[in-house]
Amino acid sequence: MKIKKLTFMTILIFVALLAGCRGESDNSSPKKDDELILAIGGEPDEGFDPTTGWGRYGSPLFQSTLLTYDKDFNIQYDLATDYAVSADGLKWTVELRKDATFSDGEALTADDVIFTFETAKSSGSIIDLSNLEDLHKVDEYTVEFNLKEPESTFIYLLVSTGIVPEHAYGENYNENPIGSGPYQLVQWDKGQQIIVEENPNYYGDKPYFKKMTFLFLSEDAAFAAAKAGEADVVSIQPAFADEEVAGMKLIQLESVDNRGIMFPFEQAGGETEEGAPIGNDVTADIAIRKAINVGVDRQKLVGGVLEGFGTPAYTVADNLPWWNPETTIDDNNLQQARKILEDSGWLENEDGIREKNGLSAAFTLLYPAGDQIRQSLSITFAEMMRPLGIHVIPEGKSWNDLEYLMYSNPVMMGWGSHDPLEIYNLYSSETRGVGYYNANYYSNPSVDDYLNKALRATSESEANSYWKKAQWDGETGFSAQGDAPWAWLVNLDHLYLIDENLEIGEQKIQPHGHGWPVTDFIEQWHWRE
Amino acid sequence: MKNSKGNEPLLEVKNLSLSFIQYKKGLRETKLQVVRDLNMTIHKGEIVAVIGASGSGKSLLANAVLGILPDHALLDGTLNYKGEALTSDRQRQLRGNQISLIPQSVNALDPLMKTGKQVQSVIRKGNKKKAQQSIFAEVGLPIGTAEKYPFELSGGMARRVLASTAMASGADLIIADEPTPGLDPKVLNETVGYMKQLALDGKGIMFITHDIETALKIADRVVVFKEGKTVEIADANNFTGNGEKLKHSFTKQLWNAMPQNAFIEGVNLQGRLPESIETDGQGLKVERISYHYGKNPYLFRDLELYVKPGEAVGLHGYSGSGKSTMAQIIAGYLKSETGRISVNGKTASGSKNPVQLVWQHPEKVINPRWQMSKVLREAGMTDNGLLGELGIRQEWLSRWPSELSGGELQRFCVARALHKDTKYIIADEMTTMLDPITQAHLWQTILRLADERNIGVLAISHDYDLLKRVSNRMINFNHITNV
Amino acid sequence: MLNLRQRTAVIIILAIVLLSVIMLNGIFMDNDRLTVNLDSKNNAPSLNHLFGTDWLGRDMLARTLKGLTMSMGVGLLAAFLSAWIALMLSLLASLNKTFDYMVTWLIDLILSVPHIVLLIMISFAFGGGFNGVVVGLALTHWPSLARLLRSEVLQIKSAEYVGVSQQLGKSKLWILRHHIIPHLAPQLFVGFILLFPHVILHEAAITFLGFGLSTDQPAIGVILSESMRYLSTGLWWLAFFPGLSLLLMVALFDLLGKNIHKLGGPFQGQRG
Repeated sequence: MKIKKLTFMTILIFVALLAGCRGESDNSSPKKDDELILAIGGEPDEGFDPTTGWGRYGSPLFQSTLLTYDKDFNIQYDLATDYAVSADGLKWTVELRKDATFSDGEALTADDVIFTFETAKSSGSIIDLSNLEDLHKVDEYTVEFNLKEPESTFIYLLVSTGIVPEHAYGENYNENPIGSGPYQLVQWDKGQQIIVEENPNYYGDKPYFKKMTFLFLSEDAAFAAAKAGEADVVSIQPAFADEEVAGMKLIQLESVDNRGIMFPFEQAGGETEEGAPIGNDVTADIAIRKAINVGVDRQKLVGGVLEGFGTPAYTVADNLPWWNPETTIDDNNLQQARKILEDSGWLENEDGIREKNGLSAAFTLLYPAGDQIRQSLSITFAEMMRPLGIHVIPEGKSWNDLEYLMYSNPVMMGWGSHDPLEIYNLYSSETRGVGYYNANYYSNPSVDDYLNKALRATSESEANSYWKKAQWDGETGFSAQGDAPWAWLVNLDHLYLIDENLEIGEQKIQPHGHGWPVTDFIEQWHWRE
Repeated sequence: MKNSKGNEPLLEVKNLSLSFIQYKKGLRETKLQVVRDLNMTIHKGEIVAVIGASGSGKSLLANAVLGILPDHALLDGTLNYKGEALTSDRQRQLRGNQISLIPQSVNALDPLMKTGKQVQSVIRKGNKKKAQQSIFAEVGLPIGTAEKYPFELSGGMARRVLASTAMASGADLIIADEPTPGLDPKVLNETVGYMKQLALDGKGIMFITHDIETALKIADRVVVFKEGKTVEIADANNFTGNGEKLKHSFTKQLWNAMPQNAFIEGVNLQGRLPESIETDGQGLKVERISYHYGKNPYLFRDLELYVKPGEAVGLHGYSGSGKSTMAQIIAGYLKSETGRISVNGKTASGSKNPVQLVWQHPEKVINPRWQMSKVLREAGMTDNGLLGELGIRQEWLSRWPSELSGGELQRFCVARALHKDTKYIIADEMTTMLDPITQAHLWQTILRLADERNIGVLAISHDYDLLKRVSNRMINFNHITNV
Repeated sequence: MLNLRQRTAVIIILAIVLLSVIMLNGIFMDNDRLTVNLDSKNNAPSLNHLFGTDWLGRDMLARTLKGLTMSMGVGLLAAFLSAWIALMLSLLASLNKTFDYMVTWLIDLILSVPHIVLLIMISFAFGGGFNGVVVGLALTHWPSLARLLRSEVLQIKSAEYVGVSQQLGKSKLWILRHHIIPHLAPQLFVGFILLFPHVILHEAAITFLGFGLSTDQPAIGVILSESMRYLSTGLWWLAFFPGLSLLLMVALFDLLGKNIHKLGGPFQGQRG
């Protein structure tokens, strides 16, 4: 009987194939002028409350923020009309615009800003406001933030935190968000879709589209919807990118949504508080890490695994304002990689695997099972290491297992934020073993020094110069030029199929995570004239 | 009733042979011939008995006529019914309609259908209910029987229902396959009576049995079967005297080996049997045993019995009376609800039982996965002399049970039961399924050995004549059951 | 013309040969076929790659063979353990009424829970991966075989020839060894072979659902679930051939079991 089941499955597969092969029907469904249907995934489990994290990646849509980025990462005013930082970097004063109202018509004032940040601070969510000593109201439209220590990255919290209304905030706010953003939520069918409409009280430029529907579909279903002409904007995987879909064009957005391998930096032997082992004798050797960084062919990974939809990655923050271009290295250089290994005493044995003092150059590369891109990267990477004499065994694990194993095994990770604090979190000695941050226990006093200086800086440009030095100051740094605790491999392009008549303008470099970031400049989207 | 000459025979069997495709160990395919060159005819109003030991192939003949042989059987020769060849299509049409079967077991009745309905279901024409009622009256079944289910009937009544079914079907040819197994004389005579009645009504009857005595009572002619071969077709009244009128020596032997005749030629068993021996307290003693199955009434209650060493006791009773249950209790297979069994004052312990039972059906008490040598080894039987005397051939030792006939297997069972620690042997219908020659032979050996080793024998059978020949003392089972 | 027995034997031998070829191929295969080859990815089936290649240019025939071997290994281990549990429990049940009641209860309990659910639960509880799957499969597939064996044991225990052995003073152990075990052995063997297809399909099923073997294992379930994402891009061969091969292998095992059953010992196969 079981055989029948399988036969049935095979038939299903056939049916699916046939459906897949179905010729593209003419999608001449009449376009409503000011409505859009998007299938870009990313339904937030916790709803739309900025104090618990909504909107950190990309626009909060229903709320607006004090400051905002333009597409070149310049800070722009949004709700704020001005801000100033004291000389010691501890006091931040922000002035608010006076014409902003929430979608329910109530005015947005300093009280709402204070309420937002206090709620976020006490929510214990992923928004880290521990450095915020207190904040108080100077007048109805002026707020003063007092920090415990200078923190240049504090400005990014002002960029990413949507302001919530004190008068309309309650337990169900996350499902019923009222804000000062360009759109308001009309309907949320969990697991299926949300429908949003224009906020009539929005103080900014009126968006072109009055109504938008976000469908939450699986990759396959989203792609099918695109083919059927049932969605105007669809996020897709690289594997689908070669398909021609009538009436749609492929948009390829550069990102810092990167993938790279985190190498345990210490010798084996340590243990975390939870008892997880720390360190790995093979990857603790800088020669191994450097040789891998030099030997790996990043361009080939982009071409082979990402179908060309991506760029080689050299750091966690490629092309962002705080990125140091000197970190770019010449890779795919087997000769040099071999030389690095041999100079350091790693010699090939008869099996073609290198050894040093009886230690074999072999390690298990872990990746989250079910993430096909990371799996493919891991497998391909392992193949690339073979000619170097480094034996890599790719192995898929659940995130649960990874949380235990990541301190002692190389892991295929992914990061990429619009906030340079991420750099601090990944490379500072202070954050060793704090969750996923610095799980490889990297530590370098000079880097720590630069990172602290970057945090303490009172201006963006000053901060950025220290961020860059932490990467590579000519002698040391956390990039592949220096200690090479990571081998960054690729940045994933974010791919969307959009209606060929839709103009979404230029976009920022996209952060980690598909979905909402593309809506950053949604007010500027419009049909081609 | 040899009046049917000139008439077209009802059933004509010519040069019939039947074989099975069989696999020996491994992949060799062999043909096992079970019936060879069989010839017989049955005319209207005639009863032809087919006699032979169990396993001689006589039931297969019935199946061949009915067309219900298993798939791997190969049939050769001519089968004609009313002058026309019996093809399998025709067999399907005629079966239960023109050709009807009276089966051996009353279990052939549908347990979930009222008997009246069952009989009506085979009637083709006219008022079914009326026809059934008149047949029931004819065979002497009470009016209410039609409304009863088979389990509510006694064995005798059930047999009458079976006969009614055959009568009601209006079939011209009736095949009765072993319809009288171990029946008490009353039921036996009844059953036989219906057969005769059917023959008088102009039906032809093939009467298959191993019971020569019954066969001779009603049959016009007797087909003697031995290992699939027709040895002789004799007129029933040729079986008389010392068999002088019989042509074939096997038939003569068969006739003479019957207990009511010479039993075993040249051997006067009666003379070899010891007189009842007086022994003080020695012997197999059965005290106050009782048994009943579930909610059924007691088969026997406070039954008492003894067998002395060297004594042969005959216990006479009919099928279904509970004597097999008693035998199993005495031999330790079942536990009595009361009383005790003792040998020389001691009850049996867990080790080798000095009381051994020989069962009616040898194939049930031999593991089909054992070679015969293992069967003997299990009992520690190594006495080659005894094996020889029982007629067990050396080559049989390496055979599987399925490769031996019932008579051959029973010899092994006897050998097994006569291991060196055996003090008493219980023979429960031991030779009922066997031909008279084998029967006489087995009894001869057992009685000689009992004599030699002072073994007590309890012979249980429905065959009064046999018991008379093999025992010193006779007990009627009905007299000791206390029910 | 071959007779029935010979035909049966030929089928058995063919099935064994085919299965061995799959397994030996899987074990001793040239690993180069499995390596990533980005220059020839997503190739449709051709003479060079009979089953095509996947999105990393790995030969699908090689992956399928590896996967089948893996499945067979899992199946062998789990079916063996399952058959062992079934045998032990059926013998336990033969000891006395209480044990029999307990075993019957356990059988009914396991059978009353949907197979795949229990399998997923156990597999998950044992930490998933190879061990979890094997333990899960072993603990869920014994009941029907145990039920069969138990009734066989009960039947043979009441057989007259066992009674004869008792009256000949043989011990329980002797009866177990000489009557019961030889009687169960063919049943057990055929049951074991017929467990295979179940076990293998269930392994593939829960692996496909993501509760089974880890995605780095070359298992058919993994291949199938990976391939699902590529179906809508027209890479039909990724799922079709591995699925078909799995089906074929399962059918082979089924054929093998049924024919061995037919061949039996000298006691079976006499009927048609």
